[in-house]
Amino acid sequence: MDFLSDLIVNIGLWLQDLLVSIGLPDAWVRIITLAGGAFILALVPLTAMFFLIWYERKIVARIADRLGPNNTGAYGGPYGLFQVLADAVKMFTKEDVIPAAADRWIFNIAPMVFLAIAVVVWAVIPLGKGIVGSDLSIGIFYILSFGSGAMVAILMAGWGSNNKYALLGALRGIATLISYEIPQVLSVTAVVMVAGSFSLVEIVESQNVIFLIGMPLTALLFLLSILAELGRRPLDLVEADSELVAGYFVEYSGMKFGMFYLGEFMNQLMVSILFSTLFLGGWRGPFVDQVPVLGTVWLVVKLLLVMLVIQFFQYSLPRLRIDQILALNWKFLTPLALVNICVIALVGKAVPYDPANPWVQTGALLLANVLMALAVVGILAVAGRQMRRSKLAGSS
Amino acid sequence: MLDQFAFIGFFLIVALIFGVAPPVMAWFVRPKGKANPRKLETYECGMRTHGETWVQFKAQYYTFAIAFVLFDVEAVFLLPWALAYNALELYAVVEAIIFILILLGGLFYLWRKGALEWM
Repeated sequence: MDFLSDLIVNIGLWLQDLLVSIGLPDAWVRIITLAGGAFILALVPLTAMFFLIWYERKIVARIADRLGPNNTGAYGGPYGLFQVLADAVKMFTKEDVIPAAADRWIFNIAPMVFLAIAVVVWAVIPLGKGIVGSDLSIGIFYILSFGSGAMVAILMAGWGSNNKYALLGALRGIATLISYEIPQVLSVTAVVMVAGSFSLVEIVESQNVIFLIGMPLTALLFLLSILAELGRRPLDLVEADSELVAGYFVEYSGMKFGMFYLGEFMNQLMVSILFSTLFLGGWRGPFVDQVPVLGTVWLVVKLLLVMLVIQFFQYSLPRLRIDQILALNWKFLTPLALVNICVIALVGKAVPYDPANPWVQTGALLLANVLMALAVVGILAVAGRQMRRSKLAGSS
Repeated sequence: MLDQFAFIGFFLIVALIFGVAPPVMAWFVRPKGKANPRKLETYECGMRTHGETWVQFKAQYYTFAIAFVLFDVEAVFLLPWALAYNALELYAVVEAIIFILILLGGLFYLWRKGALEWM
């Protein structure tokens, strides 16, 4: 029972004892543990993808009042669970057409970079109590830096395709992505301020009261900026797949397209887990102290919840134009993120953190956030009224 | 500490392998079709391509990129301050707020000058 209650950590320790008992020297045990752990951790997102793509397709279908993958058809499997596997096999067997005018090296390397970057950020996320790939003291900073690597891959794909639509799509995508880096980094700064550390393990452990309750405005800023980073509707001019034919990866076919597709989903999974870790308390939940393996279960529940919210945003709102996307960022999110940092800094000093009663600081932060949100709504209402008045005056 | 970064090193290698593996696996399985010139043409909704493909792009990309660099540098300065926030006195907090307000002033300058318009 004790073994089961902390299952994953105990399995790891047992394997390590096994290696030591074979008689290997200590350095070899360390290397094998690290390399084996890296391999297994890198497999986690890839295997989770098969379930999560099915989950997304089911949700999207239900929002659109249809069924989604189900067991009719030869490869569906029970409830359509094997549909994703069938799609993956299909993509492997498609022919790979490289246009004659494309820049071969850049064209071929772009999807590999995209997929590698999507996998690489998993090293520092705590997947449960005591289960973390590497407890880097610069955890969130590592994620922010490597997360921007996807832009390089998009630019390589757009430029290497030698296709003006791909290039324009890629450039718009880059403009969107770099613009939305700013509110993302600034809202993470606010979280780091309150938590006191970059390391994700410590951010989770400092959340006696989850940050979503204390800083809802920061969470909303982060959610909007990662929606744009993912290239997800309503901010998805990067790959508006009913308008521009697939944007920057129009010339890709076969497995290379599959890698872009998979990389996008892995990014979605990544940001859902990041949001759960930063704002929803990661693996925290009831009964985790007694049965630590429940931490992973709570993380998966929160992850599915965040993905549900992202799908709701995605499939119920119409698309924004590129100038609207950039105006939303530079004229609304960035000033709001900067003011948010100022206000949280002042409130955090006025009402210091009290480990005995964390609700005091949380309540103060919540009040400050609500007041800021009301102020923002007030400013938008006044500006909207002025615009409507000037439009009426102009047209009459 | 060495263990942490060694793990990251191994993870980067594994991620690279996972990036390179799918096309290699697909190379064994996919049909190696004969290339005819029609199939290898650049895509332009079915027409012949018209004009150069590496088009000139607009100057607004440049202004957005410069604005991004400004605010990213500011964010890089703010991150260590945020890390040390719990140990700082009130005057350090006020100093950082003045820094942020100066940069907010810069953002409003950009806004009024029209550098944030798309067209």
